[in-house]
Amino acid sequence: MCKLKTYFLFLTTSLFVVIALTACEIEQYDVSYSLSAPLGLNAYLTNSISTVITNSTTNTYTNNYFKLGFWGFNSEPYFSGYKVYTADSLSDLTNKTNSYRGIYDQSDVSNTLTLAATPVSTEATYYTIAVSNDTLTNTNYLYTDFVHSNTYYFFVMAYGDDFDAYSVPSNPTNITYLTNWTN
Amino acid sequence: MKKIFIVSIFTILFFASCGIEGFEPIIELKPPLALTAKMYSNKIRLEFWGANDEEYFSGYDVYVSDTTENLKNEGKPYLNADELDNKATMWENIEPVSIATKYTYDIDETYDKKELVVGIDYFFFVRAFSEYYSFRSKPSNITNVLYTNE
Repeated sequence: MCKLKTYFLFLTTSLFVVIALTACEIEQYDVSYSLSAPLGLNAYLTNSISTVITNSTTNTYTNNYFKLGFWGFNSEPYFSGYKVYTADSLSDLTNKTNSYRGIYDQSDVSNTLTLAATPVSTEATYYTIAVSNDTLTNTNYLYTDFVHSNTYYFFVMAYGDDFDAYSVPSNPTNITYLTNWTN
Repeated sequence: MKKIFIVSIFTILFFASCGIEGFEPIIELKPPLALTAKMYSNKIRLEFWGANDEEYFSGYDVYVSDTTENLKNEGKPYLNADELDNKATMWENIEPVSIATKYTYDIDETYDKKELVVGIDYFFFVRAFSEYYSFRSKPSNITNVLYTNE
């Protein structure tokens, strides 16, 4: 009888433990690493003019390149910078099978980002990136030189390296490359 | 007595555990950006980009003041055209989107329905709004325009 009571008590206790643990649905917290999208992307053509004097002869060289500007406000602790992509058409730019090409980091700080940046918490920040033929030779990004009178399309995404997280793309923009344009 | 005590403890635990709520999600709204302001047909035209895909996103609040500091500290939002307190300045036909979207808002009076004054510089920013959580995003970049009535 004593053993029966002990057994009954054990059974009752176990039943309560099981019910307590399973009665309430403990919701799983879905961890989502979203990033605010950079926005207001615009592109314009600009140039650098250098003067070279050789044997009393002065030569002026104009190097045309693109400047891209956009606003970002990424305060996420896992935010690491921005990735700029380009393509030869708008449809290629929005093609998720990588018809678009990443643009190599111009300052050689990163081999995954176009522009490394740190989280900002106080106010939106305006970023600019200069893109020229001289810096587009990295084989990680299958890019070819800009061609005169071709139009190029761009967008930019925020990126978090730790979690391989991307924002949605910015608005796309485009610009025509001209070798004979002077500011 | 011991048995009653043990059973009572587990009974209390059972009923108490069901009062533990699930983990509360973090409520965030991505800020709108690239706000610009210009004169357009005697009004101030604001344009900005937003990419709010949050399911609880419901619109944008437009704030105005006469200096940047006043805007940050005391900026007042424009009431929507229907004068509904629980809704954003811009809420009609605005819903969560999956791509960057451009928005426009025209202004021809102050937030308290007075005439805009020629020669005054007006400062603006915009915040995303959730009616469900009564929550706003961080502000967009600040922009300003001199009102000229042109």
